[in-house]
Amino acid sequence: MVFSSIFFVFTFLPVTIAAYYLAPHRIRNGILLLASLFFYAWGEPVYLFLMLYSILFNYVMGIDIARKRRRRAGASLFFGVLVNLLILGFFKYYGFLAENIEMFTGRVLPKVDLPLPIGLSFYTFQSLSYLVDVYRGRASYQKNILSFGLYISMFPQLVAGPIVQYADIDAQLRERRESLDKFGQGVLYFIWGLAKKVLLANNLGAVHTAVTGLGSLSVLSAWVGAFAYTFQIYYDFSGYSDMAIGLGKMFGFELKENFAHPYCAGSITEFWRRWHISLGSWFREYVYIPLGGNRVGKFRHICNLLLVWALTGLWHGASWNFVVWGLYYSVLLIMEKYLLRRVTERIPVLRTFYTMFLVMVGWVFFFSPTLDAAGIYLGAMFGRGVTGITDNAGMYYLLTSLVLFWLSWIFAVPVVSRITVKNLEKPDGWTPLLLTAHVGIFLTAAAYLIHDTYNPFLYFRF
Amino acid sequence: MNGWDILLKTAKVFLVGLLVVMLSGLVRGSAWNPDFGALEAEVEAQLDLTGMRQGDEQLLRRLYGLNAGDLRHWVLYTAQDNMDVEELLLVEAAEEGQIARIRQAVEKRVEVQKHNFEGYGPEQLSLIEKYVLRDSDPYLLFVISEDAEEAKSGFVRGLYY
Repeated sequence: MVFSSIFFVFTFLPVTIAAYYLAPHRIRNGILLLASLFFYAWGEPVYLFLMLYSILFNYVMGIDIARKRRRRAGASLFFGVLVNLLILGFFKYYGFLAENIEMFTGRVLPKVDLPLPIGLSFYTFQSLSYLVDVYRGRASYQKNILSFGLYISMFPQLVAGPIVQYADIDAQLRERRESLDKFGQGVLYFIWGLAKKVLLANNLGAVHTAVTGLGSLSVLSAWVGAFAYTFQIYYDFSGYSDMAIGLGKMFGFELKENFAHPYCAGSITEFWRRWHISLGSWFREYVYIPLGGNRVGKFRHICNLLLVWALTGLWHGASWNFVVWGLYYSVLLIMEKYLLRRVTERIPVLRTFYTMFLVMVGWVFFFSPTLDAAGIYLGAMFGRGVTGITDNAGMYYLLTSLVLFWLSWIFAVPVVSRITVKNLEKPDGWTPLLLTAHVGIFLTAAAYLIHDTYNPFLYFRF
Repeated sequence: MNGWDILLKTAKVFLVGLLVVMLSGLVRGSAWNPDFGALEAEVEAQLDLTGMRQGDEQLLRRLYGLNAGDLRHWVLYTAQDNMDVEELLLVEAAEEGQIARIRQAVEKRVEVQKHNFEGYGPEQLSLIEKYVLRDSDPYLLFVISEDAEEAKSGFVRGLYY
């Protein structure tokens, strides 16, 4: 089930909200857990058992680690992490591994045709966070299996994050305060997210799909396609995150922001502090810092960055594209850290363009099906193998998408959201104008939903 | 070892066993069945097929001694010009053990082509010698082309996705 569907917005969500608020406090986690399992089973009936297994296994391991804190907790943690990674590896990376072994050695492994369970990468990382946090004593183990099950499966952030670290939500699972104010904020977040996905991301996606489907590309059409994807993935993913945060608020949870206007970043380092913040925080907390972070020699630090970013790339998908994409960012980050920082600091306006340029180039690895295809597309962006600098198709898609591109840029900078939040925070912030605007946005998005075909979020495949 | 430890140890053993059963059940239940059309598209995308023509059943029988009716799926391309040697054969066998026989037929075809160009077609001979023959039961790929390695990569990729 996706948030941007008529069934979710007009049936599942109202029923869940009603059941949640009509139920006494002590069973509300149970109600949310049931709703989350139903939500997951709607699209993944078979893999529901995998999720239930993950809940049970990590629940047991949490108790095991907590009880052995002073004895052999390390071995239990290792075992717990290993099993979680084996499950993730089996479903997500087996095909990639088998393909590469066959490609390079000719040795044929048994072939398995299993679809990737939706949200597996996200809930596996949450499970790992739980085990490590309990091991480190950052959080106590969860005694209530229903509350723990809710942490793993909570439908607002189940399939595409934000990745919630257990220590950040432990207290909220035990006790949280729902309020009308928070509920109202949640509704606004949800509407913003829905609008980002349905009105912007889907339309940008249509432009990108049309351009990449062209028989030949000009430099212009290649850049139009890359620009469309750059904003599509931002609105698609940040829209999902906004909806997740909004839904969390409706049920009394406070989830951390996952995006902070990343396309305003003045460097790649800053971009990654603003993009998919929860994933970056996860890798920093559980991989980068344990490896020594930047408190080691230059060589070790470079190795740490390369490893963390290769893993970040692989997390996104079992393909060399993603590995190269991750390494591309590690090289940029290393260069910024050791060579370019002083240069970028001296060019205040240009540095945003420098960042956007590199980010757009990076997304080519992301949307291309293979490395070869990425190379051909990048070549087209820089004039290799193209029909010319411009062509009719490039001009057509640029001109017909100008308003969409302009809106995409305007909403990506903080101006609009700052004005909205500032006005909403005033005592008389609920002005009829803002209220009408939000109702209008919601109804427009709903109208799009009725006409749109199935449009899952891009991050579902991760 | 107290009661809790025993309980936790039992639970862990049970959960590992359950995981093994669950995964093996999923593997057995999963039908590995790549779509031949998608596999063909993946291979053909790596090759320049201009100057080649699609072969029919008669040509398949003439060049390889294979009966099209015995195969589940197949596609054959050969060079239009007799002085060119580019060739593509992609086959899905219909029964067990058939792949080995097809492989032999292809190896025989390679020998015939080598013989045909030996002595007066050094460029063609060199291209034939770089042929790619790859099978992954029930699929087999045979390519003679400058892009044969790319076609092989496409074949392997197509098998897994």
